[in-house]
Amino acid sequence: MTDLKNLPSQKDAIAAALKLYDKRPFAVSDIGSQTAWLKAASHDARNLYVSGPMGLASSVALGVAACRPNEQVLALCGDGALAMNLSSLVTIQGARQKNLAVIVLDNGVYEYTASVPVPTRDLDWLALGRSIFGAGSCFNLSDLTAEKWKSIPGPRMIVADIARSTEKTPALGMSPAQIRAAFLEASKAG
Amino acid sequence: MAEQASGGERLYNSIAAAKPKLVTGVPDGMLAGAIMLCAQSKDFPYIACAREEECIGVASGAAMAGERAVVLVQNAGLLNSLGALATMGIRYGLPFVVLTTNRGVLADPNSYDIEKFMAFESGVKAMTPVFSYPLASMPEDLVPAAFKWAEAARRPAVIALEKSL
Repeated sequence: MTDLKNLPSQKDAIAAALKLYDKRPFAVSDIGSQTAWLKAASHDARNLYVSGPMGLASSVALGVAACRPNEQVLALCGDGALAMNLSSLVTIQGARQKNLAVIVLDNGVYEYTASVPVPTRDLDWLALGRSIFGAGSCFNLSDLTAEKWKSIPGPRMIVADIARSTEKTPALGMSPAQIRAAFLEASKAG
Repeated sequence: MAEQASGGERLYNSIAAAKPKLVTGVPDGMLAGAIMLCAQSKDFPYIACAREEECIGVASGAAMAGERAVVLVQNAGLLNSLGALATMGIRYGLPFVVLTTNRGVLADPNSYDIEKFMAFESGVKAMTPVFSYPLASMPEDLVPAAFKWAEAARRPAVIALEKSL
């Protein structure tokens, strides 16, 4: 069982994951706290803030990655969100989308509720990821360095144990049209 | 016994004529022929999803990047995906094309399909326009025309492909 003391915040874990890349990846975040903390950690035109159903970020990221094979794409998923779209991991592996990585941000609860546990609270995400993507393509965030990350074959998965937030989740403050226009421009620019 | 796909090559040709960046789907017997041809295409990848809602996500990602994407699913699968269609496709104004087989119509009366047809009629058509065509005799320019409509309307175009009497 994970020691919940001294875990990074979701914001810090997202920032650390983005730092694994030489060039800023496209980052596709699930609705709710992933989107809010991605914006707080590293607002960028290459961020795609998804407001669709919980869990769809990994699928949306697959679509981006398939259309931009020369770019790296990172899907940011909450544990509760990814539980709603677990099958997307199988789809991503089946598509062999080498430029796509999925990070699961695991705090064991639905963050907006602050306390309601997710059904995956006892799931071994690392074992799950390794069974789908292979032992050499799924790692704990705390075990990764930028150098190591470069050598890991895709599609890849990162498991990040994070602290439950004690802060109010920040508001996104962007309309769907603003999100789409900014991302469209960034995705065309490459 | 496997269902004999009818119009699969015609559908594939129409999809290819629209020059999509990707095609994604979950099989239905009526779509099997077109899906097999898409999977062999050298012009675009076919992404085989485990669930239909994923297809809406994949197509949304492509459309967010400004690229054309086609979704191939059965009506029951689209019904499973209405939340994604609403909160991604319609909310963000994404011009992808959904080609859905409308099972349970008059010429396709399997008892297990009737409720799918009725739910499609009352659920999907209440959300967004649906353009219906017989699969076996669909216009060759159907998918290019669907993209033109979707791009002008700034929303997904839903095409119902049906069996005919």
